[in-house]
Amino acid sequence: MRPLAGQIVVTGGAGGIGAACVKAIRAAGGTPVSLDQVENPDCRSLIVDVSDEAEISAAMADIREVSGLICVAGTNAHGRLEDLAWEDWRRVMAVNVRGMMLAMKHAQVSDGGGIVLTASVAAHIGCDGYTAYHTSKGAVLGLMRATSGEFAPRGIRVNAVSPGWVDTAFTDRGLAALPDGAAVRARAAEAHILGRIAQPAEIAQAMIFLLSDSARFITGTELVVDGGFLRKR
Amino acid sequence: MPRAVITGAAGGIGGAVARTFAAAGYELALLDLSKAEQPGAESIALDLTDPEAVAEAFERIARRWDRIDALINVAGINHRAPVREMAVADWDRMMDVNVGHMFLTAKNAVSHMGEGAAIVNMASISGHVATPDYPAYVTTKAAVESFTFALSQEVGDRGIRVNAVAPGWVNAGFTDAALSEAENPQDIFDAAREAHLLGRMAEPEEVADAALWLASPEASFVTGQTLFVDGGLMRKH
Repeated sequence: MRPLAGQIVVTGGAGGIGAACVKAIRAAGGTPVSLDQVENPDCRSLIVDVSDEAEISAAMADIREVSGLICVAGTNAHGRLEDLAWEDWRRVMAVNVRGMMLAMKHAQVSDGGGIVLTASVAAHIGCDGYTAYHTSKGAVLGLMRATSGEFAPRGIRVNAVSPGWVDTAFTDRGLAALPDGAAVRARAAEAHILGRIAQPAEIAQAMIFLLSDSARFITGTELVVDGGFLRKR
Repeated sequence: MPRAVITGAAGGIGGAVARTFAAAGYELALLDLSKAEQPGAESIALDLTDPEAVAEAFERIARRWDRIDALINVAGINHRAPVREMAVADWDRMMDVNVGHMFLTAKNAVSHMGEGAAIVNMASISGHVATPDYPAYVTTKAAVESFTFALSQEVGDRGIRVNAVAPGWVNAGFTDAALSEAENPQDIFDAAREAHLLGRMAEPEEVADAALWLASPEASFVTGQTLFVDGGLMRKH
């Protein structure tokens, strides 16, 4: 992969995939900046609620020009349609979709830069009890396709990475909420062609590839990084 | 030093793939109908649709190398004819070259591949949108993707990854042929500007960079996938 340069903002930069992006960006020659509700001690961190326009706008103005933006910040809510509260639905949509829209709206991405959104294999399949999450990740793909055209005249490329299962605290929290979480986790590895779940660094590598000059003709597309999860039945 | 076998290396995209992999430190074996010119590479001229010739080429490669790290299948041809005028021999030739050769090379390569090795097959946006008067090309390129994910399942437990790259228009031999047939070549560049969000067709090196990344350890959790290198053509369609 060709090296990175300049500042690159990572929303959700203190979480599992986000923190892996921070490490990968630095290793590739860029300067990571984290936007999250908590600090990432590895890099410059701004504490924000990504769903709040005033906070995002102020943070992006403070950071000024960036060569890239990676939107990772996301949340989940467990609940079937009939049990899912309107407030929980709105919170998932606010963080997962509005948060990415706001980050793109206010980030000062230089001409020729790159943007990567985090979608999910959840945009392609359905699991009972995660209505809001599935819907939000489908929306992320729509957002990516729509905005790739808006940014193209400035040579800014917009793409999405869709992870399958990733070994993160986010995954652990989701499983802990399930009565049979341990059993679900035990079956996760064999749901992938590669026979294991991803490490966060493997998702980060795909994201920074898409930001890099190696991907200079790639825009408006989704890169699924799922170890063959969607291909296996 | 990692080792890669590349088919179609005498062509536009295949040649760029060979140069890109060589620059990244790969040792190369290049397979094509005519010998590919690449300093330091072993170049083998053969008919990639002849099972014996392909097997022989891989025996020759296996005598030099103890393993193969990457197989990049690029070789492809085109044939213009609507279905109602398509000769069966032309149809068969398209199938044999564009997707059959990938079956033959993979069949011979996988026994020399292990954990971390990767196969990358050249697909096309033509597997997703119908180019008028090129039904055979459209069919073979969709088949390349199906073959890719079927094979990814078969070799996944050995840690071998299989992916495809789907370019939009590429400034290479295929386009040169179209340019030579066009009454006004500028029309083709104007159409390319219109067709792609990024306002131009790809350079072959941009397609090669995607293949290089998919073959690298950086793509360690990517398998059974198609990576579009199309400047936003599919999104615009």
